[in-house]
Amino acid sequence: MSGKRDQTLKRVANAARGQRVKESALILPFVGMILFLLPIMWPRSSEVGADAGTATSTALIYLFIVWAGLICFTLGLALVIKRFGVGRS
Amino acid sequence: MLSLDLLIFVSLIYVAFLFGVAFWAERASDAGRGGWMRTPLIYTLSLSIYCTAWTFYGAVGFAARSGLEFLTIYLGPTVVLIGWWLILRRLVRIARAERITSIADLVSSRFGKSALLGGFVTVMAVVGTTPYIALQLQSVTLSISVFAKGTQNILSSTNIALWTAAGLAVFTIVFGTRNLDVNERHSGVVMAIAVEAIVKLLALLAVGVFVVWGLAGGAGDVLARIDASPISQWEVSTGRWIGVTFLSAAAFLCLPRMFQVMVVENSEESHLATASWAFPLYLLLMSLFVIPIAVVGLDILPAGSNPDLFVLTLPLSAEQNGLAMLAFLGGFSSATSMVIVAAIALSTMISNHIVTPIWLRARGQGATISGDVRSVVLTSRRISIIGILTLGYLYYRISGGGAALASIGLISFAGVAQILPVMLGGIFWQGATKIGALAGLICGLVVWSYTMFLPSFGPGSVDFPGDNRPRALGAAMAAPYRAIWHPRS
Repeated sequence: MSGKRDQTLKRVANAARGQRVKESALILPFVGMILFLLPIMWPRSSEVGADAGTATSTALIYLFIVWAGLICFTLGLALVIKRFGVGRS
Repeated sequence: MLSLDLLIFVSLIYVAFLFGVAFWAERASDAGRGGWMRTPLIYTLSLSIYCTAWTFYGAVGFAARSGLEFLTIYLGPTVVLIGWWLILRRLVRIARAERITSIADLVSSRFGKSALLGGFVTVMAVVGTTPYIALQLQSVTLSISVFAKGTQNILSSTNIALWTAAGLAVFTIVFGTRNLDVNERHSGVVMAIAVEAIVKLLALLAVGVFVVWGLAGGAGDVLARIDASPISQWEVSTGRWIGVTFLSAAAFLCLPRMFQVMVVENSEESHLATASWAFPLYLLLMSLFVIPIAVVGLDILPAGSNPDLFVLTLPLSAEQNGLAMLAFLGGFSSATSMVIVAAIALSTMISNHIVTPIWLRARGQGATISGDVRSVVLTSRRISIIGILTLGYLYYRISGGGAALASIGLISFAGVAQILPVMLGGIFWQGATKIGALAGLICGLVVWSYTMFLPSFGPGSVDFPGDNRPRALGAAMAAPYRAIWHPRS
């Protein structure tokens, strides 16, 4: 009996994990887009004066960190998808 | 300084090596030993044909002129790939189920195998890709001219462009039309572009490392130089940041060559999962040193130097001939791999959606022998490849080859992006109709031709914004062109 129950629980857990992975995969590009578009709201020296503007070096570091973070997250998702075979149906 | 003869000698050896790789890969594939060529790594590397000479040389020029805006060209495709679950997975599945061979085939088959739509998308793809091929010829010519400076040589710039176009046509015909495969897959070509992908990445990284730790005093010094440079301030325009990011994402999906390697040459859906992180990583590495190279180039090279060529001129100015040679081969790889795959993809579309339907109709109801069709398809592909490269060469000649690389690339992106609404409509929208699709494509083609393509031929062409003639369709119609050509004005 308990073996059967364990199997059912495992299936439910797998299905829930599959759902989470799918949702993450769907949300990820939108998160990426927002993070990449965020810098357009930063102050520019032509509008607020040379001292208060954003430096290119700051924006450069921000964009590459976001980029690398998204790559790591996508790598994680790809590994989970490969391991658990989400979406193979 | 490297001699031009040595440069041409090394290039020819490199081309012979690529021929060898392609030939060997085809043989291995024919003998059934090509399984390892269909791996996620090779698939990811083949996607790198997105990074053409525009990336290799033009990105630094773009950065030197407009700061961080050059990144938008890579952020768009990054978003598309990390969102592969949303669009790309579906595209690959549909392509597998319906045996899709090109983007024209996809659009046509989503609208009831419409021959008219397939033909129209083919024409748009050819017109949209022509400036892009011209851009590659221009960059090869520009890069060779750096080495030819001061030497009396019979090679004029038009000669270089012509010989490059001819060489590319031969390679593409040999390996792109060797036989007819129902899946339109080309192991030899994919293997050659994978090798070229590695060469161009290593070359750009080598130049970057040399610039940061050889010419400048490390990462901290480069950041200080960025703050002291003409592009020290974050001054991007909101419209262009959003617009170019979206445009590059759209073009990434619609460019015929990207569709070819991403969808048609895809042998397993799981390869997409790997490419979803590995290709953005490739793009990140390709753009990592762009700003440092631009800033150091602006700093130490004489004023007025062409920033599109900093990748070459910086190592040369420091007498690093070996590195300059590697950089040249990287640029050469970027240009050639793009042209080869674009020509294959377009020739497939022309033969399947224009020549064969016309030929079959002209033959009437008579019995068709499959051998006849085969020879018609192969011949039409070979002629198309020559035609496509001739068009690219003519565009290069007529447009004068003087424009910044990035501007030509954007015009091409905007041209093929006109196919996006029809493609997505065909995939996701049940209510999409053939008439609607055709109307959308025609509007897109007309507006793009009038506002971007025709003015790109320079002063004296239709509605060129620089002259004072009254514009037939009003000043607003010149806005897209002006936005691309004069981003700061």
